Amino acid sequence: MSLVFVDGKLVGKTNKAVEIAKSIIEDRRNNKISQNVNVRYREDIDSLLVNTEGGRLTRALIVVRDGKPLITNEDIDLLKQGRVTWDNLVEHGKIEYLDADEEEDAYIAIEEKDLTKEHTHLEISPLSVIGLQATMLPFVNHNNAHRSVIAIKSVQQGVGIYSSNYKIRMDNDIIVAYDQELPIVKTRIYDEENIKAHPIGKNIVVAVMSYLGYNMDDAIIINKSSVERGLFRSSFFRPYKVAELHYVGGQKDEIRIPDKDVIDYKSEEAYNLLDEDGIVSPGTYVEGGDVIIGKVSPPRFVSSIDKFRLGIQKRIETSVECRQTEYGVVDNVFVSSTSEGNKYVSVKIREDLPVEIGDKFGTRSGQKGVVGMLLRQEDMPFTQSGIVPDLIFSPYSIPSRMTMGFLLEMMGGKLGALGGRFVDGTPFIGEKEGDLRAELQSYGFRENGVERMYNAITGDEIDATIFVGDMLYTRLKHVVTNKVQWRAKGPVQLLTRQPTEGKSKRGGLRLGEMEKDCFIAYGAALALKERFDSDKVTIPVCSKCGLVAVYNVKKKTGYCPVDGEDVPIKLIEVSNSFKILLDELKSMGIYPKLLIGSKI
Amino acid sequence: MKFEVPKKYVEKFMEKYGKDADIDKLQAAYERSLITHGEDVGVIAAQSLGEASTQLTLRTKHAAGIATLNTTSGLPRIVEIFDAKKEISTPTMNIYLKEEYEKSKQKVAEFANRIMEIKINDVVSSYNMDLKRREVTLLFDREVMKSYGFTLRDVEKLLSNMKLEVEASENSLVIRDKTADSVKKLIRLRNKIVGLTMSGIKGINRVIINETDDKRYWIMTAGSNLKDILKIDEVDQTRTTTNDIIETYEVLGIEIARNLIIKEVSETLENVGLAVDIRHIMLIADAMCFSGEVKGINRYGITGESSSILARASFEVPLKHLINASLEHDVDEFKYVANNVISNQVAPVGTGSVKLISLDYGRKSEGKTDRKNKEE
Repeated sequence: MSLVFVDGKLVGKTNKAVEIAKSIIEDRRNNKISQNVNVRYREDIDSLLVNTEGGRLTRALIVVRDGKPLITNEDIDLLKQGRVTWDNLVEHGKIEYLDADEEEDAYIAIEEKDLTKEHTHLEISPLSVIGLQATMLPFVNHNNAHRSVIAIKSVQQGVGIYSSNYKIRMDNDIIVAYDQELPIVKTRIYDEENIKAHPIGKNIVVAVMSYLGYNMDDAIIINKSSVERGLFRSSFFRPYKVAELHYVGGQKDEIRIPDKDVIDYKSEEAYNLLDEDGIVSPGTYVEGGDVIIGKVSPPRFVSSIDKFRLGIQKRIETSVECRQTEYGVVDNVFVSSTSEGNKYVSVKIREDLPVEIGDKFGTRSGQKGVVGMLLRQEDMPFTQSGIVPDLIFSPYSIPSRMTMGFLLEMMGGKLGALGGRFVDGTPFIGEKEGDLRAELQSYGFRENGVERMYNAITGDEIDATIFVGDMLYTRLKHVVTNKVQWRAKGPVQLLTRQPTEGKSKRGGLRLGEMEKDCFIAYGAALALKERFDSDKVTIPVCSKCGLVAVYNVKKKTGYCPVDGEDVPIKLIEVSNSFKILLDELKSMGIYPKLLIGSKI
Repeated sequence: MKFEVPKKYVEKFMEKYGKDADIDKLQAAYERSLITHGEDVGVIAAQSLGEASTQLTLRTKHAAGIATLNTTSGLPRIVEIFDAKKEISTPTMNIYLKEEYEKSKQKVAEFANRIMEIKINDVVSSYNMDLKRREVTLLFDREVMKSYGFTLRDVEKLLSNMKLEVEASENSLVIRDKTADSVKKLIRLRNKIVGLTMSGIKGINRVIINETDDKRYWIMTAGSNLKDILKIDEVDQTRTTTNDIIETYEVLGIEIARNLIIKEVSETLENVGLAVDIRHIMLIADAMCFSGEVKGINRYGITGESSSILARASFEVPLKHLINASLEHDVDEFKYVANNVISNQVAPVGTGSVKLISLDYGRKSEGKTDRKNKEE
């Protein structure tokens, strides 16, 4: 007796589990029951599992009977003419949806030529063995699977036009690259999905060679002149949003140019950029620290002193400033209201991001790298026909990663550009390498894609022939201008007086425990002391009791709160954190007595 | 400064290059090889070992199915050695016999059987406890017992030393103890009996006989008992070793323990394919042993004995050290790296270990950084 489960619930027992499973499948194919019912007989636990729930993942497959797919060429013709729809095919039981359970009982052929009598189903396309994102990569079947995973990740980071209405959207941390193209080497999914509206990347001329040593490892060299002509020109958008909040007691924020009697008033010039309504106007250039939206708020706490003061209560300045490290032009200003009816202002700043050394670029084969050098066109190598590459890619990135799809895409791009057509790079069913080679030869190029090139600086012919082609390169969202961080002097933490941490706080980079050990191992004791001088303080110490004394720097006199004025006070230089340690020891009831001796 | 070259080097030099050789060259080579004053050899040793140990994985090799003993290796073993653990996870011994025995496989095998510890537990097939009658019944496995060469009599004899009533039947022993009036006591009694050693040396759990290329046999054991093994006549005391450092220290003394630390650490590193200069390991072994007993590198060992309060407090359990120091009226001399870094003074290593005193114009230079001592 086998158990019968419907949607995971035990409903009964049967002796004819296999027959029931067969009849359910037969009824489904004859459209007697819903297409969404799946059934499976599990021998190991002797149970019949019937699934009818919503939310299961199912996928469509062609039904195969006696080694022949039920969909014939006739059906395909009718489908093309529009006389038959997909739903008709499903109703006729020629295509059915399987869920994860029923798939276990199915024997699925990937291609029609593989079909045997044992097969129960046929894939509609061999593409369905890989996911949607992977089908967007050209010639993935020629790449290492691991590389394809990396490629998907870098395509996700690509900048382009993420949304057609980006101008009126207020998304955070958005980079938009203008003038992006559809790839020459497409896959069929590009036609099926609406990718034309969201292109990422440009078809550029790539040469695989090492040049001047600026493209070592994964670095790339980009043609500066191409960049000046607008290659990969992008913008970074930063929205600033502010609402006029209402507080208890009828008070509320006000968006306007602050009056001079407001607490924390900056200066008259600070509010110069603001319009009469207290908001910057579109087209204004702003830099870090500039006031973008002027705002005054009621004081946070009603202090006791204010009660006795006559007149109007003072208000605090709570304007919105442009972030310290950023700059740009005001792109858009929106004034609207929140759901509570408060005034709501959002200002979008646009920052230009031309290509710089350190920006990251990627391809659809998982070959990503960072710009190592921008060379002007006259310094870039050129081919016999005078073609100057936009980008130079290192050949050492190919053998260890085995991304043959990269090379095929370059070749396909080259002949696509020459022939003025798109190349089908769909995995498994795209154009074949041999055809690409033959077509390239027909345009008068070498069939393997290599060309003779010349060193632009010396004019010499380069000994090796260089593989040149066109391919889609994508700018990735990791841009140096948003990441660089540096400081000489800067803000410190209140308690420890050590430099702050993090880019947004203009922080420093920590010389940590292990780095300290390296200084010691080198014997650089004095250099180490200087590195740790960031929080040094000079404290007066009573030479009798060894506690911190009071010292007047101008008069050069001091006294000890314990031992009075007669004892000599000594000034010592220690780190502020050491002083805090002494204070904390004192708070624990431990007496840290400093015995000060002479240096010699 | 001129350093005198030790005599043994001079002799070797003469031996190699003749008596007329230029002794100045030896002097120069010797001075070049000396560590510079102020070099922080401790930090360099720590870095040299620390960098290598980041490459050690916690994964230990599997030796299933191979007739060898599975000993701890890799990082866990290194940690074990440097912590000077009292009980190491896999103690082993390499026992060599004197020359007249080691060539005969039979004699070595006999010896091996003799030293292997056999407990009553190994020959008992099952046991019963009866709280009402206050007795424990042991059922023996005859065949196993026979293979070890014991009889029930031997067991009875062994138990007769204890003040217990023992009743023997064909295959079992009934042991009665009138004082065992609770389950706890009865279980304790059973564990005590079952744990008794019938023959062999305590602690030697398994023996494996190995053969060298020149047909000599030696024994590898799981479990270690250096003291008792060395007492046996057949054993060659000069070659027999254990990997238990504390045991070696207790039996043979500190010098041998130091050498064992060096040997164990460098062998462990070698086995995983890491090359660390032996001098770094020697330095650490010296630091662990120079007090006369083996001390681990932790707060119970040499780190906890540092004379600097702040150095100790910055390592582990700071509060304990600070409070104890204040109770004992301790003085921190500020001559270590850790406390000078905390207070931002020049640490007395490298360039900081020299002080320039200018007595020009009859005036002492005013030192900006005053050396202070700290009292708690």
